[in-house]
Amino acid sequence: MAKSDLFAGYDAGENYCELFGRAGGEAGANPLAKRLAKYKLRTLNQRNKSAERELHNLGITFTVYSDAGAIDRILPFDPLPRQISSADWKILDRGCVQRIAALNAFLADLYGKQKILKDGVIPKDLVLGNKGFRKEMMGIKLACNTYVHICGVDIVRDETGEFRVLEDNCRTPSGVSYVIENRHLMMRSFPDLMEGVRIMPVSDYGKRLKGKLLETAPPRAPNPQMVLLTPGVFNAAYFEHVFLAREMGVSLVEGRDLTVDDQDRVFMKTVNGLERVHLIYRRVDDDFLDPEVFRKDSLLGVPGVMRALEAGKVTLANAVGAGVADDKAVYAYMPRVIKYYLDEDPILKNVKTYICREKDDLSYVLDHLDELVVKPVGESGGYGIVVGPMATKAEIAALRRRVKRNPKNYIAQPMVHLSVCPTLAKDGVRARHVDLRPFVLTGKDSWVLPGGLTRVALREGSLIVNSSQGGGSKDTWVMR
Amino acid sequence: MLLSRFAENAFWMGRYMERAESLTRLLMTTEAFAADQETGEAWAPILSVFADEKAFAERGKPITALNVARFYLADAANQNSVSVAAHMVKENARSLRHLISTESWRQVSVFADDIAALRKRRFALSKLSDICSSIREGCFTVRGGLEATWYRDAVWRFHHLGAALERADQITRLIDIKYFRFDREDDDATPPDVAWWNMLLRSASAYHAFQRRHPVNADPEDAARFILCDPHLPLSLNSAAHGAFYQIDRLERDLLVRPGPDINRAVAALRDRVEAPPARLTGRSLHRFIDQVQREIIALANAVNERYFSPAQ
Repeated sequence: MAKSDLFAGYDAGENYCELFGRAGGEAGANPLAKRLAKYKLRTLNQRNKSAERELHNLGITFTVYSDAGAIDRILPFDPLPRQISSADWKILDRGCVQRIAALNAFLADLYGKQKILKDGVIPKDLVLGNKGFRKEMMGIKLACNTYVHICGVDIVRDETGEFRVLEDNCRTPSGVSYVIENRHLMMRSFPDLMEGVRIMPVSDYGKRLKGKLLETAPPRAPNPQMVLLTPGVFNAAYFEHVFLAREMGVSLVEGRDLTVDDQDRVFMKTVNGLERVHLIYRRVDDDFLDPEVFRKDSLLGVPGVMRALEAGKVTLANAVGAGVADDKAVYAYMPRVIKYYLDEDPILKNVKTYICREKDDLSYVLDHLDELVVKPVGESGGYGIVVGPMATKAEIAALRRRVKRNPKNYIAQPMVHLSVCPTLAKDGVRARHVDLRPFVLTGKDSWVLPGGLTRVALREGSLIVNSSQGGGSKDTWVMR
Repeated sequence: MLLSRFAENAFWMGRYMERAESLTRLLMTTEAFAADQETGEAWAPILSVFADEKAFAERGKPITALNVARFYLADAANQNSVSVAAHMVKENARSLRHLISTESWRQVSVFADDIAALRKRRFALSKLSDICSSIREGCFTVRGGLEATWYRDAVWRFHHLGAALERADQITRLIDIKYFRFDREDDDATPPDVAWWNMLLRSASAYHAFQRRHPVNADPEDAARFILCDPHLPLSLNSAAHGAFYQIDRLERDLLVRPGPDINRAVAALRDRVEAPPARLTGRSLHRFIDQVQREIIALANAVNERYFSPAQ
C-alpha cells in the first residue's frame, strides 16, 4: 500500500508493526491505516493537545509530591490506537485464562501440600526463600481457591509477530483505569475515526470486577460489603483507586477507616458507628497490610486483618503472598508450571529466560552480557534493568560484578525486539515500541478485559515502556 | 453507610467553599465602598473581625487596600485567605473523588488551580474587582456542578451542613465589622452610617431585596435585622442556621444517621437564639447577640465533629 503523507516518514525497520504487519511483508490493506491516513498531522497534533489537556482537567493523573507541592501529571497519551485482530485476541484471551488458572493452582499448592516442590518441578529454595512467599498463608483455605483475582499479564510481540509473556503481575497490577479512560478520550476526540468500526467495549470493567470479586466473598455473608483499600491520596495510583471505587460503587477506604475486633471481624468506621466489611480489594502491598504480622511501622494497614483472614471472615484480593508467583525467577518455570497443573502446553510462550542461579545459565549469561537484557529479580517498574546491546562497557563491567556477587538475584533474556506501532512524535508519525497488559479477573472462573493497556516507549529506539521511565499509553482496539 | 472520614471531608469542603465565596464577596464590597472613602479606613476593620491584625503586621506592610486585599486573596500562609480556602476545597474533594462526579472534580480542580495561580501573579488594585468577579463565577460554577450532579445521599447532606454552618458564621462576622468600626462605645453617639450598611447589604446579596421589603424610612437597624433574621434571604443568619438544622434532620429521617443528645442540645440552643433576637439590634446589644450566636455555632460544629467524625472504636 502506498503510504500517505501521514505515514511518509514511517519506518518500522526490522520490527513487527501492529498496523502494517511483518517487516518486509505485504503491508496489508488495514482499514484502520486507511482511515488514519486521511488525517493531517496538524489535526492529530491539535486533537492530541486538547485530549491531554482534558486528561489533566479531569484529573486522570498520577500525583507527584515534592517540596513545591502536589503536581498532577498525566500519563502521556498517544492518539494513534493500537489494533488487535479478533483472531489474535482469541489467542491472547485463551492464553491469559490458561496462565491465570495455572498461577492460581500453583499458589493454592504452594500454600497447601506443596506437591510441585516435592515433585521437584521447581527448586524449593527458590520458592520458600522468595521474599514474595508468605509463610503466614500456609494452610489458609481461600474462596474458589483464588489467589490472583486481578492479574496484569505483560505481553510483547517479537519480530515474527508471535506474542510472548514477559511478566506476570499478581500483586496489585495497575493501569486498567487508563484503558477505560483512553477509550472515553478517543470517543470524544476522534468520533470520526471510530464511526462504524466495531470494537469490543471496555467500559463494563468495574461491573465485572465487582461481580468476580463478590464470587469470592466469605461464606455466610449473605449481603457482603466490599471496600477498596488505598494507601491514600499520596499514592501515585490514587486516581485509579478513585476510578475503580466509583465504577464499582464501593467505599474507598484507608487503613485508618477500618478496624478489627476481638472476634476477628473487620469493620469500617461510619457516621453511624461500626459497620461490617467482608471483602477488601486492597491496593496496599503485603508488607504494609497488617502491622500485627508484617511491617510494624506501617500506618497504611489494618491491624488484625490477617487474623480476620485466617478466621475466614474477610476476603483479601489479591491474596497475601500471591507475589511469589510473579517473581522474575519463578517466571522462568511458568511453562513447566502450566504443564504440571493443567497438562497443557502454554498457549502464550515465555521469552527465553536464563536463570543465573543455575550454573550453565550463569556462565552463558556472563559470556553474553552485551547481548542480553539482565533483570534483577524482585524489582518492578523497570528499575535496575540493563539492556546489554545499549549499555556502555563500564555499565557491562559493573553488571558483571553484580551478577557474579549475587547470581541468584538475576535473570537474563535475549533482547526481544518489541513490536512497534505508529505513534505521534515531534517530527511526525514514527515507529515506537509497545507492549500490552491485558487484565484478567478471576472469581469462580476468569474473564479477560478485551485489549488491555498498551504502553508505548515514547523515546526513539527505547524498549522501556514504564510510565516512570518515559512511557505513554494508547487506546487498544480489539476488533469484533 | 458513609465513612466518617468522607463525612468530614464533605463537611469541610462545604465550609471552605462557602468561606472562599464569602471572603471574595467581602473583598468586592469593601473595595467598592473604599473607593468612596479615604484610603485604608475601610480595610482595617476586616483585620479586626478575623483577628488578623497580628498576622498581618508580621508581613511588615502598611494597611493599604492592595496589601489587605492580597493578604485575603493570595497569601498562602493566611488561613483566612481565599487561596487557602480554595486549596482546602480541592484537597477535601480529592478524598471524595469517587463520591462526586467527574465533572465536579474537574470544576473544583480548575477553580483551585486558577486561584493558586494568583499567588504568583502581581496585580493592581484596579484589577481586584475583575479578579473577585471571576472567583465568584468560579464558585457558582463549582456549586452549580455539584448541585446538578451529586447524588443526594449522606455525603451530600454533610457537604451542605458544613456550608450552612460556615455561612451562618461568616454572616455574623460581616455584621460585626459594623461593631468594630462604629459602635464600640455608645449606641447613639454616632450617626447611622447609611453608606456602610448599604455595603453590608450588598455583601450579603441583600441590597435589592431589602429595598423591596423596606421601601421607605428604613434605618440601619432594619438592615441588621434583615441580614440576620429574614427567613427568605439566602445568606441570612436565619436561613443559614435553618439550613443546618434541616440537613441534620434529613440525615436522621432519610438516612438513619442519628444525631445524638449533644447535637440535639446544640441545635436547640442555636435555634432558640436565632428565633428570638434582642429587641434592639444596634451597638453593644447587637455585638452581644452576635457573640452568643458565634459561640453556639462553634458548639454545634464541635458536637457534629464528636458525633459523626470521631469514629467509635
